[in-house]
Amino acid sequence: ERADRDKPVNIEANRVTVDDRNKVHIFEGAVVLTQGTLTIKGEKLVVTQGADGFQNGVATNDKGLASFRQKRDGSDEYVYGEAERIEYDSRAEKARLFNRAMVNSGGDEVRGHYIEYDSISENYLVTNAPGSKPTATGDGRVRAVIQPKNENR
Amino acid sequence: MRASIDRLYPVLALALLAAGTVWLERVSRVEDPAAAGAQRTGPDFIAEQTRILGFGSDGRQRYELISERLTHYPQDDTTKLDQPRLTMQSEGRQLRLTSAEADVSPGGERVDMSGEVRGRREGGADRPEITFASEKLTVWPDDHRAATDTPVVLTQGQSTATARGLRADNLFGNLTLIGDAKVNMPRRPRNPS
Repeated sequence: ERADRDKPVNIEANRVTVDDRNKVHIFEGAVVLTQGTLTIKGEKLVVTQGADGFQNGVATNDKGLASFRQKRDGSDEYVYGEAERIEYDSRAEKARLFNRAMVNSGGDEVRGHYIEYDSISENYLVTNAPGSKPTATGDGRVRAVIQPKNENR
Repeated sequence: MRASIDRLYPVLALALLAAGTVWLERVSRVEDPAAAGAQRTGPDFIAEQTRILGFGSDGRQRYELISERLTHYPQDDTTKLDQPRLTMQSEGRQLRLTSAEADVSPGGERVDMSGEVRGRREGGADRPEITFASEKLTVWPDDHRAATDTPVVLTQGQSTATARGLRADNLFGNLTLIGDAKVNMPRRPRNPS
């Protein structure tokens, strides 16, 4: 949702390491980041703080997949994404999902090696990052399931 | 019956001998004054409105310690401070710590602060000021280390953080918040885009 970007960012974790010299916050253990309707979850989140506060975060999950969830603008549908690594850049308002990436938005589901989700335009770009080895699930091709939109919506 | 007494005889003799030596030792013991002092619980000196400057081996001032009252206890060579204010330098940035009281270990390598402990680390050109608040804090001045297991509230510029405990190195240069860490980073509205 567009209003998210001016909301404060709250992050919870078991443990936070703050490195003042290079302004990095490392969150570890059941990490939950929330900013308005945006929620990012993982086991580890590295946040580099820019001058204007939250800059970008890299969420990973050694026990599974990191996930993100955000409400779409002007609708009560949610976009849900997961991947081994999620990079969220608050300036460009883009989420980049690496390895075993999946984004589900209102029933449409897209899988691939790398997905970039732009929360302003709310569309996503799925590619197989060049040089990426085929994923275990298939031959590394992109999979998309687009639900038929019934007229009365 | 007699046999048992025969067998008991050495035990009885030994007991008598032991009793005798204990009695002899007690009578001949000279009351030495130092031992008497051990029972003393009071301080041996008290200083008021004190200001202590500590210097490193390189001659540079390492810390300044101001306190309302300083009480020294000879029994364990510890010092108790009332309203201490510790100021230390690291990498050109100053850290100031205050609390209701503090206990300084012999030789001063460990300071246990307690009671509304407040800390403030000066911000740099590009780094916001850090403030710290907790009920207790242990500081190791020589290796610039601090730690606490009581809940902490920390602010860094606009961000605030809380946790159940903290470990800090090079004078709060790097810190680790431990247990239920929660951080809030407000987004300053960017230039009106």
